[in-house]
Amino acid sequence: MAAAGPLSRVFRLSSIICRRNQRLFPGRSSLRRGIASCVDPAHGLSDEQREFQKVAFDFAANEMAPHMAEWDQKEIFPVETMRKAAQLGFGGIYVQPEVGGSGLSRLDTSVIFEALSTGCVSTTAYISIHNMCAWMIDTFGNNEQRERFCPDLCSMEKLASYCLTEPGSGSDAASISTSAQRQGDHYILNGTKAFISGGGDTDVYVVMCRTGVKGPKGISCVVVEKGTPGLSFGKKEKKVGWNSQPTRAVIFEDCAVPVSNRLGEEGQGFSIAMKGLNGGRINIASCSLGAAHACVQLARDHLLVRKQFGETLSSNQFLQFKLAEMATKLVASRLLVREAATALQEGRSDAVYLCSMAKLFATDECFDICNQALQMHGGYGYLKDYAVQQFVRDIRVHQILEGTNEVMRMIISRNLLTES
Amino acid sequence: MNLTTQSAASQPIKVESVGFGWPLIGCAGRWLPSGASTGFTLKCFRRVPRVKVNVSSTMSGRVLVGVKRVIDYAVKIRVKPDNSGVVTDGVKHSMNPFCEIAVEEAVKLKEKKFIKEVVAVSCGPQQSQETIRTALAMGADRGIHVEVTGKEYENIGPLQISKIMAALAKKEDAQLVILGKQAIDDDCNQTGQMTAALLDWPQGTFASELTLEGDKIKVVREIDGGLETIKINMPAVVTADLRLNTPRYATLPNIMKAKKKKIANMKPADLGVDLTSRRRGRYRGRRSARREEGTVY
Repeated sequence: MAAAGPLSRVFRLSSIICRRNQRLFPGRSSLRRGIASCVDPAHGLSDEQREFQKVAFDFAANEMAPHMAEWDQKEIFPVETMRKAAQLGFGGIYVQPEVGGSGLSRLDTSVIFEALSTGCVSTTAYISIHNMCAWMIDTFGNNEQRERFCPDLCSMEKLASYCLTEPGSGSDAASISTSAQRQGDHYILNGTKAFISGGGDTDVYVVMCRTGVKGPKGISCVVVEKGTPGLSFGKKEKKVGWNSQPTRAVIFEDCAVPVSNRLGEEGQGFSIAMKGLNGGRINIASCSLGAAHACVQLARDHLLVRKQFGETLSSNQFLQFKLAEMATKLVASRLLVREAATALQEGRSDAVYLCSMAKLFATDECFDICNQALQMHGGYGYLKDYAVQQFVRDIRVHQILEGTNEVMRMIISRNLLTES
Repeated sequence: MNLTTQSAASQPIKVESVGFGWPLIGCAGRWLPSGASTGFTLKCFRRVPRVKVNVSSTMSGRVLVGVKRVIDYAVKIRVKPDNSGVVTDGVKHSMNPFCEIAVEEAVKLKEKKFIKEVVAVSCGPQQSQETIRTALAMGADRGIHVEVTGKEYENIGPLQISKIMAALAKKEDAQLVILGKQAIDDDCNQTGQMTAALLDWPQGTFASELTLEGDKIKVVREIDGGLETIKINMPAVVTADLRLNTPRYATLPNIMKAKKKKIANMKPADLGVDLTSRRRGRYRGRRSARREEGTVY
């Protein structure tokens, strides 16, 4: 029924003007719609999950990809775009529907973040942090706290940040020293948190602080709202990537927080943090997957176009094999991340370890994929006009945060070497 | 320029048959104000008895929206090795962009309370149900999947689809049928016009603006000369053009709600529609000419 030749020009023309935004380079965004068949992220998903993925891909291609470079270069925090995403239900994907969330599973979440990440990794990573905070309040907060915070967080009327890391305690999370002295019906917080994503521009801070003895058992989790006296912020950090989200130190100086803002019991904070991080690790790994997927598409298209020595690069066997390896690593990472998401959703006993393995494997492999894609672009890959370099810069940090990959190895080896 | 299109019941259309055994569809809804002859003569072949129009408030408030599953606009299409068509196996498909605009318009009308129910219709194999689900996720109330598979599906064209749409419009007692102006795979731009002719309903094609005023519709059409505003009676057929609206994204909650909405299954035979194709020949695609450096054509 469809014909080639002259009609394909009409098809291309009508399809270019058909899109919602007028873009100078329509081909660039359409690349990320997940077309190449063996790495198609839709394989193995249910119809409903494919629908979610389609919405996320469309949103990423239309609302995020065209602005990705500008957000990175001008360090813009795209609040309006994130609110649009929240209207589609992306503000509280695995938060319960009765407080405004979408009530989906971890696997659905992973699929959605992977698709959104093809549009802008940094913004998607922030959205995933925001989701994690909303989930923590939803899961560990009492009804009053859930109703107070979650609806606004799910619609992104208010944005959230997660505060665990301190200048003196990164990987050694149990050694945090931000103290919270109980005085009547308030906690008085003193201390500093470092590298807080969204810090200074967000409204709700989920803070881990020490209410009791040294070690993990003395840590509690409180929610601090922006504008509380005693809450201030450091300077905005200048980073290699993740530039569409501001990163600042969060400083508490005799900051009084009502006891009614505490999530869970005193001493439960560390366990809340660890449970939150399991999901956070899958989310970050998913963001890496999306970037790697976009880079494989970009590399493939470049190989088909760039000619040297009288032929397109795609005739070069080394590059063919390299591309195949990239694709294989991508699919392998994706499978591990999705399995970890399913395990977490089902509450399996190996969920924690799978999440660590998934984060370790996916972030390392996907960075490698993006790096290789940059190499394949040659000199052009180094120019900021091309998206590959932004993907490389943005996902480099995924090997560091949410638990460095070294800490992931610690967790896994401890499980293997513990006598039981 | 303002044209009032009246129901064909009041004046006969005079258009010459052009040898395909089917009237020139383009002339079916257009009129010269003075009623002067356009210079043709026609035999009108009516497949569906003229619909009695009841333009009171007892209208069903139902809108039928046709959606087509086509190859995604971003895919680089490849021609089959035997030049008989385009490779569709394993290729990403999605809803025709003009059909998305049509669904969006129907849902908007429902939100403004002009109509009560939006029914999404698609004709094709099992996979067309995905397209209907997308329409349901955008806000349609229920779906109808007319199953057409295999050889029949390869040979189906606007004529057969419009017969199905006409039969459904009558069966569902629709007061409005909204279609996309054309599909991006065949660019036929015929289904809407043919459906209107079969039903003997007025048509507002290439709509860039649609307003319901009582029992009439005001349609602003994009035509070669600019914009044309017409007022047509309901029930009518409208085809959506690019600038009619911007389709919404389906939201996650709506996608989940769409799971519970019903999609009715039926075959063309259930609607009494005959799908035999009247096409005589087969189009053989050719690769475009290869140019070499130094050759002057």
